[in-house]
Order: sequence, then C-alpha cells, then structure tokens
Amino acid sequence: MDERGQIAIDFLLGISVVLIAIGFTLQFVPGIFISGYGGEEKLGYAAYRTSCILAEDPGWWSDNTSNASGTEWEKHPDKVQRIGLAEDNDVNSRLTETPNTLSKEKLIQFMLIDEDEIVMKLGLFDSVEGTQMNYRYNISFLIDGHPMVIDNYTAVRGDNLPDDSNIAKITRIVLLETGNVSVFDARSLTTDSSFSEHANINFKGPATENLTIQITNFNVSGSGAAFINATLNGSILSASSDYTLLKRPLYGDFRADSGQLLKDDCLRISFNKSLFTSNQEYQIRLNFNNVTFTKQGPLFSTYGDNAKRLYETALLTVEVW
Amino acid sequence: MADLKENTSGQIIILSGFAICLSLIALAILVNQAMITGYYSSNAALEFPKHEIRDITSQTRESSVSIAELALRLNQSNNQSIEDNYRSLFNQYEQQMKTIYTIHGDEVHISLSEMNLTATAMNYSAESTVWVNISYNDGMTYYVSRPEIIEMGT
Amino acid sequence: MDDKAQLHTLEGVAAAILITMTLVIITQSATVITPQHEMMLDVQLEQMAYDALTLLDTAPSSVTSTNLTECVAGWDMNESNIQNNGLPSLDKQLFLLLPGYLYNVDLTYVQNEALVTKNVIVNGDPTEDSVIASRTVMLTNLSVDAAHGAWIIASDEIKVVEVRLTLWQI
Repeated sequence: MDERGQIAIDFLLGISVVLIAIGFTLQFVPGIFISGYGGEEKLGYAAYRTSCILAEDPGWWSDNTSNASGTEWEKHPDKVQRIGLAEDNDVNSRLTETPNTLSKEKLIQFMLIDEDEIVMKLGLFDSVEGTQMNYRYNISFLIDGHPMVIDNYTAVRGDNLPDDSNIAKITRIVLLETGNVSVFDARSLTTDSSFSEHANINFKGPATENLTIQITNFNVSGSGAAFINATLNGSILSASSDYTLLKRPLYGDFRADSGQLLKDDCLRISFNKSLFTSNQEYQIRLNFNNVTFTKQGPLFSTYGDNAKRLYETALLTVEVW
Repeated sequence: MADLKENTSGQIIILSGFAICLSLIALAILVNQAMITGYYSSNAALEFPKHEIRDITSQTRESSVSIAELALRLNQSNNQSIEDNYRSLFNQYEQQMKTIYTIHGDEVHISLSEMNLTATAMNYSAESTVWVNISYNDGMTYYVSRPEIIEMGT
Repeated sequence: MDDKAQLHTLEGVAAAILITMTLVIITQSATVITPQHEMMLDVQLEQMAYDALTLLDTAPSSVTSTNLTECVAGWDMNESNIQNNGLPSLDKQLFLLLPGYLYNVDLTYVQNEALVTKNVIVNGDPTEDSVIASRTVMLTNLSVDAAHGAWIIASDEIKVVEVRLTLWQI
C-alpha cells in the first residue's frame, strides 16, 4: 500500500489544531495587539489634542463664496471649520490672547452642533484600512464634580463612560463664562439716606440672563454684620427660588455661607431672570445688618453701568475610548 | 503505544510551535520598541515649548501696555519724553526676560522696532501702537513674531 | 498495523499550549503598557500646572480676589520654609485650583545683574514624577505699593519675576 500520501493529511490536521489555537488566543485574550498598541497611544493623543483645541483655540469659520472668515464661528455654526471655545476679542486674528477663558456663546453652539460635525472637526476618529472608525468620547464641563447647566443646556457631550475599557482622559482647568455680573464697591453703592443699612441698585428690564451682583469692601459698623434679605420694588424676595447668595472670604472661594460678614468678604447674589421680564425700571434693595452705605441717591447705582461677563472656574474633562 | 513513540514525524509540529513562539517574542520586543520610540517622540511633542512661547508673547503684550502707562506717569515727573522713558523701561524688560530665560537654556530676544505713542493728559490716543520683535530659540524650536503689534489705546 | 495515519494530535496540543502561554506571558508583562500610561500622566500634570498659573494670571478681578501679579507684588521678601508660608494668598488659590496635588513655588528675578531664586511656598520634597511650570509677571513701583509688598523698585524701574510652580501627586 502506498503510505506516502497520508503524511500530508496528518500534518494538515496537526497544523490546523495549532492555527485554531492561535486564532482562539488572538480573539479571546483581551487587549492583545489592537488596543495595546495602536489604540492607547492614539486615544491619548486624541484626548490631549481635543482638550487643547477646545480650551486654547477660538475656532474658525469661513465662507468660500463671500470669502468671509473669522473666529466668531458661533454666529455661523453651519460654516464652522474648527471648533474652539476660547474667547476672542479680535475675530480676524487667528489666535486668542485669552486661552483657557471659554465663551458662553461658543459653548452653547458646541452643545447644539451636529454629532458628525463634532467627530469630523475635532478629529475624533481613526481610519482603519480606509474605513472611518469613530472614537467614543465624553466632553464635560464640571463645577464641584457636577456638569454645569448653562441656559438649560447641560454642558456634557458624548456618551456615558463605559466600565471596562481603556479610557484616555485629560482634565483642564478653565474659566467659563456663565452669564454677566455687575461688580460694586460697597463704598460707592447708593442708598436712600446716608448711613442706612441698605443699598439700592436699579435695573432696566427685561433681563435675558440671570442678574449677578457682586459687592466688596463693606463698611462694617458693628459685630454680627450680615446680609438679611433682598426686595424687588418693595416686595421681599425668597432666598432660594428668587436668588442665591454666595460669599467669598479674602483669598477663598465662593461658598453658600450666611455667617458674619467681614470687610474683605465678597458677596455674590444671583437673581433669577424670570423676576425681570417686562420692559420697565426695577429697583433691587439689599438689606443688611450693621453694614452701612454712605452714598445717597437718587441717581442710584445701576446694574448695567458696570456689568461684565461672569466667569467661573470649571474643569473641562475630555475622555476618549 | 510503542509505535506512537517511535513515530517521530509529528515533532515537526512542536518544532514549528517553538518557531512561532520565538517569532512572537521577537514581535513583542519590536512592539515594545515601537512603543518606546512612540514614548520618546510623544515626549518630544511634550517638550515643544508651547507654554514658554505663549508666556513670552502674552507677558510682552501685557508689559508693553503697563510700561506705556508707567512711561506716561514718569513723563509728568521727569523731563524726558514719553518715548525715552518707554525705551528705557522696555530695555530693562528686555534684559531681565533674556536673563531669566537663559537659565532654562532658551535664547529670547525681545526688541522694540517702532512706536507711535501720542498722549493727551493721562491717556494714550486710540492709534497709539508699539511694534515689538520677539524671537525664541531653545535649540530645537525657533519661534519668531516680527512684529508683534500691540495697541495702547483704550 | 498501519500507524502512520495517526493524527499528530499530541504534538499539536503541546504546540498550541506553548503558543498560548507565550502570548499570555507577553501580554501580561507590564512593560508594554506602562510608558504610555506614565506619559499621559506627565502630560496631564504639566497641563494642570500651566493651566493653574495661566488662570491666576489672566483671571478678571470678579473671579480671583488677587491675581498672580498682585500675589507676587505683595510678597514680604522673606524666604519661606515648610512651616512658614511666604505667600498665603497664592497658596490658598492654588490649593483651590489643584485639589489633591502638592506644590512648591519659587520666585526667580534679577537683582544687581545676578539671578536670585527664593522659595515662597514649600510643601515638601517633590517626587521624581514632579513637573515644573513657570510664568513671568512684571512688577512696578505702583503694583508693589498697591499690594503692600516689600519689593524695592524705583519709580523708573520694572522687575520681571518668574513664578515657578513644581507640582506633584502624592
């Protein structure tokens, strides 16, 4: 009998067992080659790059037909070329002088923009053999560990974090524009008659954003100085639904604190915009205990006179997987 | 069983198993090597002096404006022109920046190329501008901004 | 009897086990992943340090009570050690911005044509993984007076000071 032909079949079967075993290992040992090699490095870059573009670049838009362009892409969200959130006061220069200071308008447009647009413009994808594979990501703006809410938009984009995969994460400290603020020196705040314990601030409605009043340099006239309450055109406002009160000690941070008021404390009171809906003159009166104001009205301090943008320190986290 | 022992032609499989193992180890070493080069090249990306360049330009812009204010103030008290005061103060800024960056091994040149400073009382006119040349070199990266245009007017 | 037709199963299985074990050992060895991971941590730490300094330098007065320039201008010129903090205003703000991190702060400036470096905030010895971030500020006679600092700067002089932040994680 001719036995030579059988060797081939033995060998074939033996080698197939080996090949099946290799295939099995490659398939089932997690993180072999694919995620260990190309993946992690690219993910780290993607996260770092995304955080840098968002925090340090003002973005760019351009229109081919009219040849117009600039950094104010939030006004032309459909023609955006680059998505960046940094504020910029010169829309024609391609750079911003204020990295890490993020604009509210840009942030809101960032929340509204199309998903595909974000993935394409921020480069959150990888090409594997010519086909586009989108990364999954989560971009959040956090204050005290919670996502911020700006004009009813929760400042989070992307998917929920998975429990079991390699995530590249970059955290940035940024200043986020959250509305506007009017900063007053208590010594120049107006009152009805000199040395009374209240201050009057006028505001011309309607309000489009919450009103935030920040006051420093209190003239504390006795112990137990404190803020009591606020009235709007004579009616007392409720402390939780109508306004919120925060206090910052010298060098400290804003905290909800109704304790004794010191000279160097900074008081921040935010009024709900729904209080100021009609087109009329409003007067806010802040009542204090043992704090006096000397500058006498009428010609009261007005909110609009020194209204500025309000910024808050937040963390921008970019996670990619 | 005896026959099984004597049949040695299957050894070629276990031998090829060894061969594959060796090639896998070689492959793993290569992967590691690639990672380490990746690590070094990304370290190089880390070492790109983005922060230094930004610090120099933003500090120069900020300083140019406050130097202008100081020059105007000095002009009231000493009998030198605003330009002379500005030049003298800017020269100090230039020298000190250069010295501070030298200890990092970076070469920084900041120089005033042109200025147009007109003031009425204590304020500069809207078109007051200075042109500053900035160059930075850390041996790997050379950055130049020529000129950096800084407007004084408020 | 014809034993040539026997499958070389045992050898096949032995080779399979060998290969599987090699692969498992290679992938489990930590060297493949570690440098990447560490690099990301370094990038993150350095970025945080620069972010904190940038923020303190550029933040408008409604956000910080004293910005970086004002903090430095208010320095009493006494070198500090671990017990004695030279710049409490800067320390408190950095503490708020960088929770969970430790940091030292040095100031470097030119004095009589020589460079002087002084510690102002000392929280301990930095570990090997620490990163350094720096930012320059410019002081004038006016800013020092306003912050009640002890710098001696003539009215026609300016002083450039480099704030160097060494940051590490515990």
